[in-house]
Formats: sequence, C-alpha cells, structure tokens
Amino acid sequence: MTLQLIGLSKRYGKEEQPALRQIDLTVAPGEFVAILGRSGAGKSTLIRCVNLLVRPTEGKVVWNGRDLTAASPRALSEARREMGMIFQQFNLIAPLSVLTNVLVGAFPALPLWRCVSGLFPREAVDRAMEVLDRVGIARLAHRRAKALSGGQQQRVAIARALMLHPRIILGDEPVSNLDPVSARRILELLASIHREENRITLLNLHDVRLAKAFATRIIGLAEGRIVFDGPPERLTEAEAARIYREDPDGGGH
Amino acid sequence: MIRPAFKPLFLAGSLLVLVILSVRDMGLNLADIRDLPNTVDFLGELWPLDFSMVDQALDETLVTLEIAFLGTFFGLVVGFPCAFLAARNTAPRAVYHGMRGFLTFLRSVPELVIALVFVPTFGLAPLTVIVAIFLHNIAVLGKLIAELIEAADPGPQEAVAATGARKVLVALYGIVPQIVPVVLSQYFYRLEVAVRSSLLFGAIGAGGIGDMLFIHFKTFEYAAMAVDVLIIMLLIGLLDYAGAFFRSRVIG
Repeated sequence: MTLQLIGLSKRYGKEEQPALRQIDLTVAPGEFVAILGRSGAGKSTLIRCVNLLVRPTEGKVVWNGRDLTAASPRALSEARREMGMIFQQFNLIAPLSVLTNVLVGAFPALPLWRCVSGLFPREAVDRAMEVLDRVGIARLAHRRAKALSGGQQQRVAIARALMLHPRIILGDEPVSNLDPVSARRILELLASIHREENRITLLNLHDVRLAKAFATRIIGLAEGRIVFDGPPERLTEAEAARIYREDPDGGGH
Repeated sequence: MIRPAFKPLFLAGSLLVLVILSVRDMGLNLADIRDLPNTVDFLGELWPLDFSMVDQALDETLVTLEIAFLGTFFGLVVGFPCAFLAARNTAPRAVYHGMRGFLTFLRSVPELVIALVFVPTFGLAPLTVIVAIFLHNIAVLGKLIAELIEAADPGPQEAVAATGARKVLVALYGIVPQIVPVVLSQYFYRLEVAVRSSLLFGAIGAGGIGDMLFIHFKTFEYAAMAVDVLIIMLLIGLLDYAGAFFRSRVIG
C-alpha cells in the first residue's frame, strides 16, 4: 500500500504565494520520511494534505488505489482510520482523562451512541490500555491530560493515533515543543513503532541531526517545492544549506 | 495635514454638552433634592423589620427562583445546539447566516414585549414570565456560546477530525470540553439576570417575591417589604456563590 501525491498544489484564500506547488511524491511501506524546511516552506500544509485536513487546490492524494480528494465523506473517514496523526501542540482534550483521550482514536469504529454517552465497550478500553502500555504510560490512564508533561502528552497523542492499527503515522513537528531529551525519546518510540509493522511514517522535523539519525528518507521543502529527496547520507551540508537558504523575496509567513 | 487622534478636551466638552441638553430637554428640577428628608422618613419606616410574613416570603422567593431557573435552563438547552448552527466554524454558510439572523431578531425583542405577547395565552402568571425568559435566553446564550465556539482552540478539533470521527463528535469532544467552564459562568450570570427580570414581572402581577414586594409597598407595609428586599439580596448573593462553586468544580 503506497501513498502517492500527484501534482499537489495548495493556495490559501487569495494569498499570492501558493503554500505548495506541484508536489509529486511516492512513499512505500517501510519508509520513515522526514520533511525538512524553513517555517513557511509548506511542511505543515503538505502533511495536512495527506489526510485532507487541508484540502489541496489541485492534484491528487492516492492511498490504497483511491484518490482521497474525490472520496466520499465515508471513504475519507475510512482512509483516516488508517492514518494516525500527531501534532506539535499535542492537541489533547485537556480537561478529559488520558484514557478518554486515547479512546477518541477509536471513534470512527464505534457506534455513535457509545461516543456520545461515554459508555465505551470493554474491548475498546482494553485496546486503549494496551496502546498506553505500548507508549509506556499505562499508569497515567486516569490522570487529566493537562496534568501531564509535554513528553507524556505526546505519548498520549501517539497512543490515540495507534488505536485503530494505522498503516501511516503522520507527525506535524511532533518534537518541536519538547526538550532535547524528550524529543529524542519520542523519536525513538516512533521509530520502534514504525518497525513493528510495515508502516509509513511521515514527519515534519526542524532539526537536521534528528532527521538524519532516524529517517530512512529525507525530503527538503523550500517555497512549496521539493528541493531535496534522498537517503540521509546524501544530505550533505551544502544540500542542507540549499533547503534552508535565505530567500530575498521572503518565503516565510 | 496630520491631526492628533486623541483630543481629551474636545471629548469632555462634547459630553458635557450632551448632559446639559438631556437635563434641559426633560425639564429635570435638581432643586427637588430639598425633599430628600421624605426618603429618609420612608427608609425609617422599614425599621423595625416585620418578620411575621417571612414564611410566605420564602415560598414566593422559591417561585421567583423556579421561574428564573426554568426559563434559563430551557433557554440553555435550546440555545446550546443553536449556537453550533450560529458559529462560522461549525455551521454551513447558509445555516450560519439564517441562525445568526434569527438570534439577533429574537434578542432585539425586549423580554417585556415577549411577556405581553403571551399574556393573552397564559394570563398574568408564572408561565408567561418563564416563556419570556426562555425565548430571550435562547437568543442571548445562543449568541454568547456561538462566539465561544468560534474562539475555541482548533488543535483538539483537528485531532478528533484526523481520527476520521464524524462532525458531531468533532464538536462534542473537540469543542465542548473547552467551552464548558465559560458556558457555566455565563449561565449563572444569565440566571441572576433572570431572577431580576422575574422580580420586575412579579411587580406587574405575575407572581413570586416581586409580586409580594410590590403588594407590601402598595399597602404601606414597609417593614414587611424590607424583609422581602433582604431575602432578594440574600438570593442574589447565594446565586453568585453557587456560580463560583460550580465553575471551580468544573475547572478543577
């Protein structure tokens, strides 16, 4: 099951500069991809186009042989079940318990009345405890999400993403809000989860060293275009400088 | 030419002119202040307090509270879902404009007018007041909550949407937990306002402690009226305290 982006472009509202320009990208199972680029290069937009949180202006997102940009809401929901996503700000529901936050990851597979009533089936709760154990914080299941440290919150978010056995893990700057030690631990966790099954992992990172240490493939993005695509050992200092080069027209936002 | 935007003297002068024009137009006679001793005499008659009718006063206070509670509670029950249809980020464009317009219209009709419209149906009775408070609070709470929904952090909403969950659940889990504490405090404020409205409606004969207070006033039972006022003040203070208590429990 490969992920294919074909001629993907995105322009927000009436802004002059498009956020993405004609992105073509194919990612195969087993690839751990790190996307690098300056802020404003289009990294977040690219990640969000994969699960259609952002709807591209042009182009296709093909997953499992199906163009998601043309998919029905139901088909899109089914595709999203196969894509777990984590975020820079963790995006947990702060006042709710860790366990409830993780159960949110199973919502599309549960009957509506279960989610509305909060009476979750035994199997879903068991699965939530299993993934919490996998990310190492089962003991925190009944704490409120907002009482946790940044690293712990990101673990909750990873557990939520794992609930429905995703084929793809998407991460929008998942370690940018963490201290260096927590950042490395979270990436180690993501790498070991990646190896468990033949998954695709697609992360935005801003630290070149972390990208080289964990990724099997690096994509460099500048002004909405792919300017580097290759294995980490090919990312020389000169190549990295090209990704991060100063642009007199001001690509940032 | 660059003109300074801030002209305090000009502003103060304009306001003074407005005040003078208003006083002159109504023919207010400030010399009437000489009759202030009349008010002092009146206040003197409140004392000693007459507690002989306190049981009845407490019963009527409960009626006032029940009117305000039923009106605002059902206002919240209906206004809450309406708010999602009146928020830019949760409603389709056409629905958003329709609901916004409806709420604005409803809010522009004074509670008193709504009550008068329903007097032929329910008479001068608590139900008339409940309906007036109910309709008015759909509009007020609907608008306030819609604004909270629009200002909610998009992060959790994105996270719930990314799981593939349907839109109802994105709203229920991505938005509601964030806004509940503020909704609660808004609700208690609206309850307090409703108690005040129901006091006034009482004065026109619709029941409750306001009704009793006005009767005591008209029959010169000032000492009993003073007890009514005391109970009302206690009630408002109690509501304020209850609001703070529930809010701290939810925020916790």
